[in-house]
Amino acid sequence: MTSDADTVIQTTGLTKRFGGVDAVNGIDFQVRRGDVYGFLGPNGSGKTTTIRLLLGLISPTRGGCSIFGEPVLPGAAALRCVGALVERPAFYPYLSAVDNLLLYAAARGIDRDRATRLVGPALERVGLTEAARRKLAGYSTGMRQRLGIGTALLDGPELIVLDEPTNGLDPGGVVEVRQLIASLAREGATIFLSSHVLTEVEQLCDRVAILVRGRIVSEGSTRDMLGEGERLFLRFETGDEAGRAATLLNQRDIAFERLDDAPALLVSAPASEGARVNRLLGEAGLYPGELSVRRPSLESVFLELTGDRAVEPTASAPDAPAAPATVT
Amino acid sequence: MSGFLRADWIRFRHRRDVLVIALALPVLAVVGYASGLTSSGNQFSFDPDFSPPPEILAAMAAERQRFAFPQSVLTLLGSTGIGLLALVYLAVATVGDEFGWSTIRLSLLASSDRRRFLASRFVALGVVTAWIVGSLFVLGVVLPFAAKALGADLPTAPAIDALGTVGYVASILLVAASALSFGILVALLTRSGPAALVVAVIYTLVEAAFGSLPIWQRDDLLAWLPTLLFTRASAALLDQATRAAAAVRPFEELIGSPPPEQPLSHVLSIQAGMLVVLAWGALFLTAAFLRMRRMDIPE
Repeated sequence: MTSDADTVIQTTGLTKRFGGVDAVNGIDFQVRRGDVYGFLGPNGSGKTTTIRLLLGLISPTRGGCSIFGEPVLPGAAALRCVGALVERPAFYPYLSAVDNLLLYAAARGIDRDRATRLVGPALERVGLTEAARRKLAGYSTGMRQRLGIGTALLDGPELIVLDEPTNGLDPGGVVEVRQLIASLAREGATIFLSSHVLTEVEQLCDRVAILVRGRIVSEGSTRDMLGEGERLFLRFETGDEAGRAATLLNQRDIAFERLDDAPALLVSAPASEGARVNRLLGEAGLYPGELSVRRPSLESVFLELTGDRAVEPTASAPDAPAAPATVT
Repeated sequence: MSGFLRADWIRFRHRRDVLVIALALPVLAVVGYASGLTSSGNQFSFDPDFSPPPEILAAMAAERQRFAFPQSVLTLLGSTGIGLLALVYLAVATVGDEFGWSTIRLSLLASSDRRRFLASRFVALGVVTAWIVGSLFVLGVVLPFAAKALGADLPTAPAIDALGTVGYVASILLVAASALSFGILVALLTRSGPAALVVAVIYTLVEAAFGSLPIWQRDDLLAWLPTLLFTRASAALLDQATRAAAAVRPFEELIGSPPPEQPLSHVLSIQAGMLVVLAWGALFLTAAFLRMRRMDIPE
């Protein structure tokens, strides 16, 4: 794995052992400038541990990581360019939101005047202007989460690390935060987003790593990851037509699956092969009543990789996230 | 560093315990001064015609000198004992709460320089210490004049030893700095304010029991060892330093009683005591920095 000026995060054999358990086990990945990088994994897979390693809160047992080319060590200058929300946001309960942000800004080395200028817009951005002077002890989980996001974004950091940012938010808040992340991505920020909300990652991230039991089991662009499981769905008028189509595909060594509950076939071919398959069927006098592309959701890919249960791809419009469905 | 100090200023000025301690200690010192001054002029007796013997009257007059300027400065500074306990509490609470509330994460996400974080906390607590010692010093200067203005009968007090007073103030600050280092270290080891307080109390009790073991009395060389323990060395240093600064003879000497037996037959000189306390403080602080540098923050 090579590192260059565009590499924002790089890990090499990153390992963290707690007691006798490898919470993170030799993971390698690279996040490049401008990426919105999704970090997926079931509970306990090592996502938050990885984030703590990236932020220098804990030290690796083996391997290492770098941010903007600088090894992550306590006091590393590169960490000043990072804004982060890790797990449940923690604040001083006896201080107001404004004072918590001013304190954070002061510790970050931001001068008083600039800090005062930044705090108002940061609170407005996460919808906490009205509660700005209230002590944190009286904040709900969702309000703390919003303030955590506001803190991470306070001074427009080059790299934003968000660990489950929509935790504890109401549906309206979830949508707002997703829109906020999308707008940050459009502005060119590099975002490292850890989540177990798969639709969130699917909608927002252009690259994804899936972590299972401390190891990365799959990594790549979201498009490629979803594209690998694309299939063509062919529905015929009668079972006889479907049978003839199946014979034809068999003769041409094209993999497919025949559905039991409908005169239909699922052909293992990407969308780009649709025209060729359609022509082949047409030459044999077979005209499917429906030909559509079925792509897997990130959820189905995730569940398949994590081995929780087998889920087949579902029908969906090309740009819409698909809901999972089990096809027997 | 200035950023961390500014952050600590925001933390401390809103913390109720810091405010209470910083304000209550001077208030308690004023109350103690007033009550001591009042009681030093009264000779309680069931017999209204009773007149104390002249040596007792002389001793009472001498005792009253402690409330007149400049002896009053040492009298007020002598009330820092409870202040030292309060400082240990503050060190333990302000560092321990960072773990209890997980706000250590917020601080280290803002800036990952752990050394500066700890150094700034030490300096901030040092400022609180300076405020407490400074306010007691100022009260020691101001209160006798206020008492006189209110009609109190204060004798003329002998001068204090200037160098001795400087040594006494230095000893107080040194013991306070070491106590702060101790509190910070214990809080870092336990990652909790309440647990750290319990550990600090247990440490003090264990040290007292250890220092009282009969084994130390068997040999003249061994007898010096308990004087090197942290709390004993600190208490002995403050005791020696205040004696050196005050020019007033001890009360027992004035009433003709033999001086009370020293709790320890072996007492370090002020200079040696300062070195021992300094060594303990440096040890605690170094251990705290090492711990902070290496510890994982899973909070």
